[in-house]
Amino acid sequence: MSQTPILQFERVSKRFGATVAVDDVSVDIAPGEFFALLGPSGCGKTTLMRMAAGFEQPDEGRVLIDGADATDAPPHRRPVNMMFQSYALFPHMSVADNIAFGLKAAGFSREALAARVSEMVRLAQLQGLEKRKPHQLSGGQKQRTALARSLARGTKLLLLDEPLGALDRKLREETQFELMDIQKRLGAAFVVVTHDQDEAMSMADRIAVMRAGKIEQVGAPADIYERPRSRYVAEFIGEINIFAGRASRAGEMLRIEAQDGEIEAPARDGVGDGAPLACAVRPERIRFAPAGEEGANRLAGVVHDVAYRGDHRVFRVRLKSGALARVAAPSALPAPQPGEAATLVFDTAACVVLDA
Amino acid sequence: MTSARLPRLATLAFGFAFLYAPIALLVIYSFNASKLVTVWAGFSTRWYASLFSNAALIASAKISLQVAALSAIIATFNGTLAAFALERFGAFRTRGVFVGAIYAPLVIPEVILGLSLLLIFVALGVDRGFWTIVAGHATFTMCFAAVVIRARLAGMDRSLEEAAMDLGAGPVMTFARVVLPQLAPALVSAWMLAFILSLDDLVIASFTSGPGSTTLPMRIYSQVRLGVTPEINAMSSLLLAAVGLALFISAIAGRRHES
Repeated sequence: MSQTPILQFERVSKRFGATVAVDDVSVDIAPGEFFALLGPSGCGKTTLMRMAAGFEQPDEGRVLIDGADATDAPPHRRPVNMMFQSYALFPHMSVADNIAFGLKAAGFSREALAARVSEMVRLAQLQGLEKRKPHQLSGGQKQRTALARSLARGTKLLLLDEPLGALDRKLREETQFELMDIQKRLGAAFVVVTHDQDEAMSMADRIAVMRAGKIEQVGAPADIYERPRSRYVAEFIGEINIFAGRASRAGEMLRIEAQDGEIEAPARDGVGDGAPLACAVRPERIRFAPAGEEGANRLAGVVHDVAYRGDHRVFRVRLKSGALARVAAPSALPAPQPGEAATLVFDTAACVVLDA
Repeated sequence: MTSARLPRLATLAFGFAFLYAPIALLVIYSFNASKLVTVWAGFSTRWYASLFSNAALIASAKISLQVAALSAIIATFNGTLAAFALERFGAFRTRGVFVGAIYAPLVIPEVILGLSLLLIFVALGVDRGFWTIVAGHATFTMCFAAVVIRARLAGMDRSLEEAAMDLGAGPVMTFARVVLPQLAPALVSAWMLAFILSLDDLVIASFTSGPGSTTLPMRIYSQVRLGVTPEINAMSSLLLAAVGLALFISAIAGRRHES
């Protein structure tokens, strides 16, 4: 049951001068897992990845690869490969030579090398481009060459630094699926560094949300989206409405006195009366209440504007406090017009209780 | 548009004449039939023929070429080491001092450099000759080589080296297969520059040479003091052709690499 993790960070810290890039991070990544390190630039996600590759040494803590301590191993002695954000293709080598580079370093025989290169060329759909130099390739072709090169050695752990960052939007989505497909086929663990939450959400089995050198939360995408553990995570992933106020216990419920109205939230342990708490609700969990309907979690406001998104519409509603709440509703449903008064309603269960 | 063309062309012509007329004159007079350098007496290649029978001049040319080739190799090697130290060892504390120390010889008067080299050779009791010129030239051309190589190194994507290491290449393979091919055009330029600077140098060679090791510029200079002969013109023309060819080749090499 308990497999040896392919990659482990044990209380790892890294400082650059006075700035702490990575601060006491511990996380395990399982074999074959698609793992995303997600955070804004400067949160330490790239440094963490570079420590796994061996380009940075942690000041404290250990890095274990496949159960073995690799903290002090140089990059060329680690059973890890990395795909660089800039792709770092060798400009003086053809596509085939780029892919073959790691195989030559590993001492492959001529036949084995040729076979492996053509296998990788097929995997990355680079047929016919083997003799081209990197400057003769399109962005997508460069990306696939870099991927093929980093996978050629048959690594069980691939690190990908912003793998889709340099691609345009349409290509990015296609490539997402390609990456997921290749990862499943090879069964290798992929660790992706990204600042793009959509990318992380759609590709990864698990996401670690990072902030200022620390991991704020690790979990499956749905977990992180539905049950964020802090305001930071809630606001970083997708859109969310925050209603903050003083809390009091009311039987099985919590009652939060927000500026925009009284909110009923699921109970949470260890909450004293009068503690400042916030209720976080995703826009798609809020709907417009029909006139005359009674119940809890009702907030009155005036529709400020509407953005049409095809299958759904996003409303911004000005509440009593002056704050704008976001509501996402299917386009097919009847909805108020901008300027009209509206009552927002959401289930108690839709509210995630967070520290204010 | 067209009215501005004539003055522009004239300016251009004047500018280039200023730069190249003396050189052109030298080349033209190397084909002069007359023994007098300033009187044109018809076309002739006799001075080239007599040049090749002038054993002393040819010997000096040989020495100059050997000194230039050898000192350029040493300068390129040392310059590469210096460039790596300054560019790849991070911002170590005394880096500024080292940058200054490497680049200072670019502006130190040659006479002073030559004199100090002479003093140290005398102090060390080294017999002056071929190898002291090589050492002297390697010393001052190294700085130029370091500048050229460092510029290329600074422009190189470090992630290329990281990618090579990540793919299992040790430091030696990374250097040989990735860094060196990237650096090659700069190494060629640095060598070429050091070669030409050495070939051209009179001052430092004068201080560091000994009996039997007279370089071409020294030979030309000493002969000119006795009067300019058309042979010297011919020699200088050949030198110009050689340098021009070297520059042409390095330019072609540079362009081939870019594409």
